[in-house]
Amino acid sequence: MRKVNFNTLNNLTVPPELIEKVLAIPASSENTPAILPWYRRTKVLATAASIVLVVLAGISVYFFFGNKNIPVRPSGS
Amino acid sequence: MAEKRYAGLSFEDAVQKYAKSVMTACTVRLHNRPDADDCFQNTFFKLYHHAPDFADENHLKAWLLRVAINECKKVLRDNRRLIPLGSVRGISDAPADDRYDISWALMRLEEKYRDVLYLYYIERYKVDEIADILGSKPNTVKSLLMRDRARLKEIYGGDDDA
Repeated sequence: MRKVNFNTLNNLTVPPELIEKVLAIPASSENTPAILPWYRRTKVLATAASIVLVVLAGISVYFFFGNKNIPVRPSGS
Repeated sequence: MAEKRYAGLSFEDAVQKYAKSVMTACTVRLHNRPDADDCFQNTFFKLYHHAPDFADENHLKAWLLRVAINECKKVLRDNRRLIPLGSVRGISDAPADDRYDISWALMRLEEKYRDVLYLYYIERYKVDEIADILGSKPNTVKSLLMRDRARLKEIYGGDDDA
């Protein structure tokens, strides 16, 4: 009966430089703050930018199309 | 600040002890060394930042393998592209010199099928443990194993003289 094996996969090596990189994770994590202040978080910035854009768009639309109450005399009269 | 322990091991010991298993899991799944290196680093990054309390070293190893496999899935999802089989250093699509070494045949299976065979034959996990790691049912793992064996046999070929 033949007995097969997975020796190539069993003997796979991890490059030492890769292990060094991984071992440096604790040191690099101490240097950079893990949690950003709330005003620098992507979600907060994106929400603020969206609100500003929507307000600006609303104002533009209002002045271009919605301001019908200005008493302007019809040009024909 | 006290050093964080992972099932009694320091971070360095955990990396040294399980680096090979994590790297093999990533390589088997991705068949691409640069991506496997990225997943390897991400796995240990998650260990450092998001590790739960481990009951024992088996729990730690299973957690690492699950995270590694999930990282690989993420890479494959984000980065769908064709990769030549010979791109992994040390593993080619050609049969190895050792005629009984069928690593090359395993690497020719579809990605999703490699995990089960890898965990069963290389990491020597039981069906229930594999189901736990992969987040599937034991019966699914059993049927996958059966299908994988048949497929592996198909790829390996029928040289019964060996």
